[in-house]
Amino acid sequence: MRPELKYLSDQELQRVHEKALEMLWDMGMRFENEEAREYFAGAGAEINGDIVKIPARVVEKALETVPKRDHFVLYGRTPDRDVKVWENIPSLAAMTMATNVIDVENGERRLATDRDLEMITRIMEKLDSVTSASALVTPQNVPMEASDWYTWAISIKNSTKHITGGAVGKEGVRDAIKMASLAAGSEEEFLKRPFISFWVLTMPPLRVDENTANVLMEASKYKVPTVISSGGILGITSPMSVESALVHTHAEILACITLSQLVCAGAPVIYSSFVRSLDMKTLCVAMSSPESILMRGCMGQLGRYIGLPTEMPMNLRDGKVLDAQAGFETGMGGTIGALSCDFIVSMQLDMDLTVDFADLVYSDECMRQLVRLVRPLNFDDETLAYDNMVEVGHGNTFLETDHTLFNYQDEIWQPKIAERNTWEAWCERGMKDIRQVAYEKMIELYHEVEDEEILPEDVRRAIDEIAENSLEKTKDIKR
Amino acid sequence: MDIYEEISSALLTGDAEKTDALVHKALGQMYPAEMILKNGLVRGIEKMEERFRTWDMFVPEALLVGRALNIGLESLRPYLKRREGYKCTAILGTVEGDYHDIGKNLVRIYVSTLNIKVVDLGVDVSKEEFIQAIRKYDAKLVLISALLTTTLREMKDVISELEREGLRDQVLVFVGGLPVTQAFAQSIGADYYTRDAITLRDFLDKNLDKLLKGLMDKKS
Repeated sequence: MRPELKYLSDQELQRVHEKALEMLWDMGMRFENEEAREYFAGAGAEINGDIVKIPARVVEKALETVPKRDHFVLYGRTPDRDVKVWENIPSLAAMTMATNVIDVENGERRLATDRDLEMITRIMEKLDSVTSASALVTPQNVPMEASDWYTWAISIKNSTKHITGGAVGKEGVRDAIKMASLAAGSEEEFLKRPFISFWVLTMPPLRVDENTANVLMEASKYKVPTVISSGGILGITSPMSVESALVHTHAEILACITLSQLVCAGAPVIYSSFVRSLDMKTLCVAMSSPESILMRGCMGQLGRYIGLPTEMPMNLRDGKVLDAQAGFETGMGGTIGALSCDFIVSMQLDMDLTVDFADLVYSDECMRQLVRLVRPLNFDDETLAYDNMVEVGHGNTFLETDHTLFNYQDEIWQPKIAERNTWEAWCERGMKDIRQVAYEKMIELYHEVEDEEILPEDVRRAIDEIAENSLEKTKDIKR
Repeated sequence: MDIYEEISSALLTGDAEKTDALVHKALGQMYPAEMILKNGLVRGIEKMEERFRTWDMFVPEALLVGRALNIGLESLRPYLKRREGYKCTAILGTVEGDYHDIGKNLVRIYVSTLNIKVVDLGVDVSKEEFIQAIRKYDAKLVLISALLTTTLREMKDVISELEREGLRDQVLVFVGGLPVTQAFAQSIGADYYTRDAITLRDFLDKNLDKLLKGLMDKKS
């Protein structure tokens, strides 16, 4: 079995879950969206103004119909990109919405552009451990009101992998589905294998705004997956205790899962949480503080507890550049993530504001190691290698035996960029640190994909048109 | 330690009760209210600002000091001399979705020491509320604060709303807050950025007359 990390004992998991159910009934959730309240009312919830008090049985019923991780497929646009969650191989999911990049040529931090997103997406297409190639940056040179539309268009045009993104209102959901359907060939084809999903972010504590509910309901209607996250901040939007933050965070996710199932039983959901702490001197959110990481480890466990696929932001580093701090944060968050969730939201630095192209290659390297780290042990005849022991006997070497020759590539993880040679060899190659090596590897990929288009021109043009025509619509959407 | 030092020390520890008691004690001993403010409370805050500026202070600690300061100020207020008419009104608030007020409160405290009437709209202020208040008070200064990187964009929305409502030329917009930078302020079309309340006070102290004249000229 895949090794798993248990922060919470079985009793603690149950206590958090029960306390969350109690909170949903006792305090209720604030749903500002009338249609959402009507769904809840129809299921037997008590409505008081915009507070919805949800009985435990309504939540429990939703947990019965929501698709479970033991048969959950996160679709790519092409089947070779599908992730069969039950196979238990953790992978990277690109985070979204950073606003800055480290310029590839001059190394300076600047605002991200549409071309940056295009190139980042194409590079991610080449990195095997990235299974969800969401828009790491939101281009800052497109009309801001319609930036979600432009972002979807660029991602869909340049990836065959799964993509998660934000949307503005039901219209935003429908347009993203239209773009994805163009890439898939038809809406029918797309809906058979929905390869995009939508972020649904609650507004802790215990609130879901108009737009978020609309996105959740519309995506669920189409049975397109939603990635539901509640991201309280200790001391600001969560009480100043990890334990308490876990309870209301879990409660908020449960409320949204319930709404999705009331709209459409069987609508797929991925359980996520951006719960985090805040630096109490700078008031900047700490994406990779020990308490942020441990809370998400617990949330990963809670997601599993109710049987859902889980996606946790374990590799959003606070470090500004790929230095020792960012390296440790990658290792700490990555290890906990690989041991507690299915998808590791990743590849941003500077508290999720900045993307360094070199980090894409670096993160891929780290993730490949983590996959090896958590691969289940399998005690069969081949791995026990008793015959091989007998063959070699006492005090001899295994180097030239068939067992070694057949198995070393699978057994020993092989770095692409990490340094494992002697000091002298390292000097001969220019004494480069890992950021530099990752950068050079990235540059090779960059040139390789510079002009690479994966969709026919007419399809690309049709996708672009949806983005270009969105600006007018955005004015009427209540945010 | 003289009474002023005692007040500033008590304030710096965030002990509201002690600060207030000392303010009353000083008033009872006939120390002038203006001096209690200047040499006691403001000096304490200046020391805090220095620590804040070098990131040497936890925000909850600063909030406690802010609370103590407000209580001390309330006790002192009836004894402070009435000023001549205000030069203008400033609308102050933290943008929608943001519930942070320590920096904003410091702005209120410092700007209030000039001849400016400060209308503090509090936290989580919508762009409509800003507009309404500007009209109601005929404000010339709009002081907008944000502390979360996630709510920064709201500042731009307030400025856009000012433009839509035809008020942009009638007010000067100041933005501030921890994640705000000069470049950001420029990019969203704000008029001025200062990094903290003290700098803002100094700037207004030196330039207010000129700024108001500039606004009048623009209008005519």
